Amino acid sequence: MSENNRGGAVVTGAARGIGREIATALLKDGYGVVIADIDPAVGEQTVKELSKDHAGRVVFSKVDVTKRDEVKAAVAACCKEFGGINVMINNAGFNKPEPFLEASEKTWHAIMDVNALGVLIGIQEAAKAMIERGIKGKIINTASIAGRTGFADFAPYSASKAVVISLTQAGARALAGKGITVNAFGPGVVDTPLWEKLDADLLAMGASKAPGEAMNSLASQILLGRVAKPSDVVGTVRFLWSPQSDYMTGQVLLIDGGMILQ
Amino acid sequence: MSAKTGVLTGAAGGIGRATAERLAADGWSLVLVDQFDNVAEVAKGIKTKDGQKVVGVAADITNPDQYGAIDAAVASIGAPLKFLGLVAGVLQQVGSIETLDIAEWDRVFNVNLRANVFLMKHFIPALRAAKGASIVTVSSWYGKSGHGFFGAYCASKAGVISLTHTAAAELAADNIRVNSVAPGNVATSMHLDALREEAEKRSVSFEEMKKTEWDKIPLGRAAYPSEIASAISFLAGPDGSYLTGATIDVNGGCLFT
Repeated sequence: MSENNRGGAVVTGAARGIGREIATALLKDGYGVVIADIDPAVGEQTVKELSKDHAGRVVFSKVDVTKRDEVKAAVAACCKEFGGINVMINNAGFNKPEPFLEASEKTWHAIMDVNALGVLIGIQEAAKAMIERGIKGKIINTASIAGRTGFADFAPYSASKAVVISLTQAGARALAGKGITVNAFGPGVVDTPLWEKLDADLLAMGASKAPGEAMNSLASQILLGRVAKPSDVVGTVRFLWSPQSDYMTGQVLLIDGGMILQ
Repeated sequence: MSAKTGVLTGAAGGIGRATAERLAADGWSLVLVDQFDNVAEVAKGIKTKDGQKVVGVAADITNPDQYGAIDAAVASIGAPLKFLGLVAGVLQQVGSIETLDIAEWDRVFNVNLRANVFLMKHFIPALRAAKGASIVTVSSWYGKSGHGFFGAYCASKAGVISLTHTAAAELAADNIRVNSVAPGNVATSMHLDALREEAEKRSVSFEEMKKTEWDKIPLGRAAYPSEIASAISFLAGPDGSYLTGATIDVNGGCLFT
C-alpha cells in the first residue's frame, strides 16, 4: 500500500489473470486504477476485492477494446477519478486454438479485432489524453512469445501478437517527441484462465491426450523448469512503468523463463 | 534484507560506477573490479549502510591469474556471492575490416568476450553454492546489428548475447539466471571518444557526428549511465526472477528487435 498518489492508470482485460495482477501492483505502487474489462460481473467483483486494501482508488469501466468510444470513456474515467492518465496497459486479448489448416476467417477476424486493433485504439486514446495534459506517460502492451515465433495451432493469435510488437514500435516512433514511451512485454506460458481454456481447447481438438498435458509439454521447454504464475510477469511490467525504464521505448521484454531465447 | 555479495567488472567506468551506486543502494555488498587503480577510490566513494561493504580490486580480467585478489575480496566481505555483473568492455580503433589489424581484433575480443568466459568459469561454482544467483552481461545494440568500421566491437558484443543464451541454458538448473542489458549510446567518455574518432574518420565535425548519431534516437539523446544501471538492478533483483536468457534493450528506441 502506498500513500503517495502517482496518478492514474488504465488496465484493459483487468478482471482476471495477468491484467488483474498488474492492476494490483499498480495500486500497491500508488496509482489509481481503472479496471477496464468486457465482463462487468467479474470486473465489478475484482474492483470490490481490490477495494478492500485500496478503497476509492479502483473503479470499473465496461470496455470492449474494439469499440473506440468505450476505450475513450475508460480513459476519461481515469482522468476524472485520478487527475490524469500516466500509465496505459493494453492487455486485453484472447486465443482460440485451431489446427493451422482449419484456422478460419471468423477466428482470424475476432482475434485480430481484439488483440491487434484493440491495442491500436488503446495506444491512440491513451496518447491523446496524455498529450492533451502534457503527461509524459508510459504505454505498455501485452505481446507474447507467440509474436516472436509462430505456433502451429495458434496462427491468428501469433499473427495478432506480432502486430502488437509492430504497433509498439510504430507508436514508440510516433510518440517519442511527446515524451511518451511505448513498450511491450511478452509472457511465455502463464498459468491463467486464458491458458486453462487453451489447455482444454487443445485437449478437445485432440492436440493433447490428457488435461494439463499441453501445458506441461510446453513447460518442459522452459529453462527455469516451470510455467509462470501471473506474479512472475508483474515484476517486468512494473519495471516498464517505473522510472527505471525511462530510456526504453519500442522494446519488447519476453518473460518466458528462458524458452525461445530471442 | 539478507547479506549478499556481487562482483562487478568495469566498475571504474561510466556504466560500472553508476551500477555500483545503484546496486549499493539496493543493498548489495560489492567487489568492484577494474584494470585502473582508481577503482579503490571509486569503492570508497560508494554510499553504504550498516553491514554493507564495497571493496575495490585492480585486476586485469583477461588474466585469470589475477582473480585471486577478487576471491580474497569476496571472502573478506563474507556474504554469499549472488551476482556477477560483467560490465567491462572496450571499444575498438575505428576502421574497416580490410584495414583492421588482427591484433586489434584480438584485443577487443579478449576483453569483451574471452574475459567474460573466464570470469563465468571462475565464479560459477560460488554462484551455484549461493543457491539463487544471477549473472548480467552488458552487450550493446551494436551486438544486435552490424555497423561500418566497428567490425570487432559489433562481433564481440553479438558474442556476448550468444554467450548469455548459452549460459542461461546451462545454468538454469543451478538456479542461476543469466541475462543481458544492451545499451544504445550512453553519455560516457567511451561513447564521446568514439564519436570524436568516427568524426575524424568520416571527416566531419564532432558536433555534426553527435547530431547524426543522436538524431537516430527517438528519445533524442544518449542514455545516462544510471539508466543502464537501473536495468541491471532490475535483472539482478526480485522483479526479474522469471527472466533468463533475456536481453533488455535500453537504447532510447534507436533499434527495435
